[in-house]
Amino acid sequence: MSKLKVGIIVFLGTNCELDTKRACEFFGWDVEYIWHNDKIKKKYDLIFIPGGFSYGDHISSGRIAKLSPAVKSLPVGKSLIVGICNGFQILCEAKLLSGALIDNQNIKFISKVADLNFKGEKISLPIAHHQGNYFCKNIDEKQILMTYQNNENGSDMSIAGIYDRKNRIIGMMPHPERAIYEELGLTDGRKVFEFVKNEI
Amino acid sequence: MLKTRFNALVTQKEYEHIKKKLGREPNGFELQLFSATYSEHCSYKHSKELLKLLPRENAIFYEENAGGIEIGEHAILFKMESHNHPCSVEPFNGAATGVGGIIRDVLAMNARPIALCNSLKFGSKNNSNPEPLPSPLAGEGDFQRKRQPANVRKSGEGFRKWHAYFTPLLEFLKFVPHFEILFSPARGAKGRTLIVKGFKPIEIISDSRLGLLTQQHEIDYALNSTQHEYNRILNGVVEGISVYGNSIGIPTVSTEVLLDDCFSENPLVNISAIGLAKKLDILTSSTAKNGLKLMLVGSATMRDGLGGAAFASKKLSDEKAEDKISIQIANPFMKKKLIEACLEIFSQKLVVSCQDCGAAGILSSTSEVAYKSGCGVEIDLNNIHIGDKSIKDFEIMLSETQERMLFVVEECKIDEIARILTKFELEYSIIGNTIKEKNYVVKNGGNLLANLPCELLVAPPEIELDFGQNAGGILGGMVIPPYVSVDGNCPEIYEQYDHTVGSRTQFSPASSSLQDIELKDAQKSNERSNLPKAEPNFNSLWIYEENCFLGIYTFSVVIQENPFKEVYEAILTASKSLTERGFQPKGITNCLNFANPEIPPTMYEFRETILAIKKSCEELKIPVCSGNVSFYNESSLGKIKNTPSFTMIGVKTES
Repeated sequence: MSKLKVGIIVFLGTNCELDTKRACEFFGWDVEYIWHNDKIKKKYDLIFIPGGFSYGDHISSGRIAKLSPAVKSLPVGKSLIVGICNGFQILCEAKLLSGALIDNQNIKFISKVADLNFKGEKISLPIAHHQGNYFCKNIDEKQILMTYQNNENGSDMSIAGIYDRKNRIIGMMPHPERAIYEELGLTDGRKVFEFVKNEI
Repeated sequence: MLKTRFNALVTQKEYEHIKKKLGREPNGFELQLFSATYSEHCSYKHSKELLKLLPRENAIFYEENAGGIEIGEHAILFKMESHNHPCSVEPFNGAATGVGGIIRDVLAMNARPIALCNSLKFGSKNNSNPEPLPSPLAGEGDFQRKRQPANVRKSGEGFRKWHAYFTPLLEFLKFVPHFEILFSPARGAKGRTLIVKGFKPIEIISDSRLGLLTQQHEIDYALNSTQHEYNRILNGVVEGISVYGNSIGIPTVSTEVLLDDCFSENPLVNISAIGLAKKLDILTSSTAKNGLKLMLVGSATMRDGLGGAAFASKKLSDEKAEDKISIQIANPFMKKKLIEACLEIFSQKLVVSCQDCGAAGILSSTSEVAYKSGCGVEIDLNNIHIGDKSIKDFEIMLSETQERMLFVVEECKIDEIARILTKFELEYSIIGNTIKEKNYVVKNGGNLLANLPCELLVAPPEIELDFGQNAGGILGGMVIPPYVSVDGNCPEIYEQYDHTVGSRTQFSPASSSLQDIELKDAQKSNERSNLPKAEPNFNSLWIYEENCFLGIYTFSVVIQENPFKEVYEAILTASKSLTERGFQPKGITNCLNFANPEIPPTMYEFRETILAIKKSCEELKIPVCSGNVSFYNESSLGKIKNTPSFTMIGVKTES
């Protein structure tokens, strides 16, 4: 089987592109960056929108990034699209995923290792966000991908990640790319990456 | 002190010295330049002789922006710096620009910043939760509702809609410099009125939804309330570090927080940055030569942070409102762009020499490059990109606008650099060039504003130091209450710092205390046992490029009675702490926070501290790689207890 082709969109202010690239390379995938100002023309199996503060989160997180050529030309339905943290916020802003992410319940940045329910398993992944409080009117339960065990940020139904199977778009607030290496003690991120790989 | 009509600060002795060396009277513009370069903050005039005593063996680049140690092909460059004075006036921006400033020091040497540490001191916590004052906008009955717990207020879709709509607006306004968000105390027909200085008042919200907003920004409103002062400083500083550090994607891995009443009005905010560089690619500020271009990159020069160097060299008085103009405004997004652009430009070897614009802005960065490289510079103020048309000539030179870097480049490389800067949407200007004569020349179009020998500008005349007597006589007999450490029971502080970005951090400062509790739970202990235990001020970074681990230990000594003994023991304890965890101590950086050096026994304690550092580091065979001195830490409440802070670095090769 040929190597997976992965694209990582980089905005001004993105800061998890290197972590995501390292994680993909850990699995032996073929990775390249996509600059936010370029339209996506090449064919990718998987496109990551990594975490960070695209455009400094000015106005609101993801609100400017959704207008960028790269996001506007996302091959929806063709490639699997995964938004992590700021990527999730961008996908929600762009209405590619339902719901919205608003300020955490305590109105503060939260950085910690959160316990999550994922595919019937209990896993621990780092979370680090200020606006990760997921808000939705009504969501199909089948769309829920992962939930917080202790609902750190006050999300509706404790949702930490969702998966729109029809359009093949995943969004999640936790950072699986930061929990790959045995050296750092946490390896549950691998389970998320394996899952993503199987969904392609 | 000699006050000119520009309100510059040069001592009479310094003025005579300038006049003698120059052979003429300096003009007003030149005197402004001297006031900045001769300030304690830039010249280290009270400390530089003593700092020469510190051991430097095995350190690399200890005379540059940051110093470091070698690990294989790579170098770890690190430095600690204080931002105490700005934080006492404007905690949020003071702390945020403190983070920004120290990162630039590391970045200027072509090192990617990989971690931040901080050592913070505030007033006692007893004072930090006073009875809440009604904020200016609280009417009758409003106040109780406002203090309800967040989950009560949060219910209801109306609130959420409002919140989703309104928070972005406030967030946006935060980034508009020079505007303040105020609420009118008067009630409108529908609700209250949002007033942003410089805009028409906007009537926005009904009373019932004001609650959350009020709490969120309450600290800002209580600016003039002394009861809120301590809380305001602590919250502001933590938020500043959190917002800035998190946004630029550098993890804050090691934190130390101490509370003591002597820091109530003069908090200590010491931040260290750790950078990773390839040894052969390190840039310095001493490699410029004749005939090169000076390129200023980043933010347009504005009036913010004006005279900050002189500001940090005087004690804090009640003139806080007046001082506000001296605070630099933080822009983390600009910094993130600057970091990525700089690293891309440096990686293509397009720059000969680089210096960050820190204290005294363009003046200190250009004069330092010229002095260290042994050449001169010629600057034309007309070419500098300016963000504020009303700015005066000397203000351009002294402005401490954040997020700027100075490159020294060959003329043929400018186009390529400009292409990369455009990609990152950054502005730049060619502000001048290097010249053969060792002179510092400033022009404004055709007008010559200053022409000074570089050496005279950078090196002030030596001063006599008054070491005074042992402090024991003054403090002896007094009962000194021990300071309180909030480490371990303040997850709400550590949780605000992103510590995992970069995928290098081994420990979680926030969860360490929680973990202890959870470990008692036998069921959970199995699941969590793979997570190593940590202290908030210790962490370990994985340097995967060299397959080794970097142990980072941040600590400080609030000097009580015997400076030598206390500092000496603290350094040995830190070293032991690293060794116990398997790390070989390799280097240390310091930030020495002291009171007014002109009044004994400050200099006595300072000398004892230096001697203690020298002795302990020589015994441990580790170099002092870099450092910073902050004098004049005093407020209307009196002077602080002198407090040196340190970050010690150790290396562990096997995993």
